Amino acid sequence: MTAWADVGSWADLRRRGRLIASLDGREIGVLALDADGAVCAVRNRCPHHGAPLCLGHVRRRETSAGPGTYAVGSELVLRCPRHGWEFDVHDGQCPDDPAMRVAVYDAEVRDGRVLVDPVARRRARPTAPDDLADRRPAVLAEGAPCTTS
Amino acid sequence: MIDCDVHHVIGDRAQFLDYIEPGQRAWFASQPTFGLPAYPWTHPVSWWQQADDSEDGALPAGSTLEQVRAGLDEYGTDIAILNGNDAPCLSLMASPYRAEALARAHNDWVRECWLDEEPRLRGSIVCPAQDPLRAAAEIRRVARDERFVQVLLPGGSERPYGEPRYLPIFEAAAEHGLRVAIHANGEGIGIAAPGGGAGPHTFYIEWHTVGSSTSTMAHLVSLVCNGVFGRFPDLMVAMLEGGVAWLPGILWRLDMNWRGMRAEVPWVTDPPSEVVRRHVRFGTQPLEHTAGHDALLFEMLGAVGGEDLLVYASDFPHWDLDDPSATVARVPESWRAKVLHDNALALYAPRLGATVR
Ligand code: FES
Repeated sequence: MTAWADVGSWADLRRRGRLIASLDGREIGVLALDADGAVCAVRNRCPHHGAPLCLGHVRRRETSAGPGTYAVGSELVLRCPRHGWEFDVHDGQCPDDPAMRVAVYDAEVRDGRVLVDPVARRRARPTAPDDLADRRPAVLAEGAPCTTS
Repeated sequence: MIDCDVHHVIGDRAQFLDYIEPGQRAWFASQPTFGLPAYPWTHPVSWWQQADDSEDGALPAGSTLEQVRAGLDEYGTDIAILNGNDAPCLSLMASPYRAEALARAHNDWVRECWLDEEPRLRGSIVCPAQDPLRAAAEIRRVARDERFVQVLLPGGSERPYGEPRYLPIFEAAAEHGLRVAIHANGEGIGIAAPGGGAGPHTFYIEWHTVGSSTSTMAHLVSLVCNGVFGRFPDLMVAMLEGGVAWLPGILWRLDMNWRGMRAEVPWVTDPPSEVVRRHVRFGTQPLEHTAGHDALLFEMLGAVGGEDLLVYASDFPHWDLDDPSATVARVPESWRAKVLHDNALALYAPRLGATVR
């Protein structure tokens, strides 16, 4: 049983771009994935050189149909503000280096408040952003209590 | 043993001129170096092995079949890939029309005067890279002869070879199972960009230290970043005479930069070092001298897969050649068979496989 933490208001997150809270001795950042309240929570420490990862921006990762062509893909990544490495917002994996992963946490917005489960997800989650809506209620349905302490 | 870099030069001018198309023969006959651009310096001692040099008016080594045969015999070479000494620099002539005529003549001359005469030799196709469509046409014309195993481009170029303008060359090569060799040579001469990246060199020693290696690095990085290997999945490239000690550093650096800057080249979907491992091989000569740190050199090369990347190259008959015994004495024992033979056999397999074991 995990006590979810209230790390601030959705309005505040929108205004500041991110909320960063210290939970169980770890800094965790929460960033918006869209304007409707989808969020991600990521440890605020880049696994590369320790930069405050959550000061970076969430973006759709560039992709390509072949040399010389550019497209915007569907994978949402958080780009480190220091050296630009990218981490999938859903499972924390760096798509460019299998050895590089950052801890991610379950989080959601409820009644205008931003809630985070301070226990890191154990396993990689599917990365397609479309499944986010399906996934988040499922986590709550598993019985994780939501506190607003 | 397969030697991936043996040079020959045009010794008999009259014989060579016969291969030039009649309409351009007089022009080429009037040019002391067949119109090829030249370096602004000469080697302070000799371009060639001293014993073969031309002090007495004799032809430089590599000018005759007999000289090259003697080198193959001396080193116990089973297969040698002939890379024209100066001819690749026809890509740097101002006139693509002259360059095309010279390329055709050179390729025909190689076929008849060298490959027909010595079964241990394999040929390299020279082409007017300053006009890639003409170059591709020449590659296709010559590719019918399976004894030509690669297209030979000089390190000197107007732009790095990953530039889209050069795609017809790589397309023609890939289409015919030809490899593309990029041999350090010609940086900063004719229409080529200055060598070294900081303006023209003053001395040959500068070119030989950085001009030859930096062009190799630039072409390597350009080919990867422009996704040339993504377009031609079977394409293999051989980098010759640009050195190898820098390779781990460049690959590590490129991998690191790719992680942070891949948005610029999103078609590069694998780490660049992996792309290089799949598609590029490196001639051993000149194997940098390490002041007693060979173990360190090979540890670093091993970290980027050097065992499978290196192919033996002598650079016969140049002044700084590495004979096979010198190379064997330096590469780790477990690498030797691969470096001297297996890697080159695999590299040139589409055209060598049927005839060589
Ligand atoms: S510290 Fe984050 S990419 Fe280097």
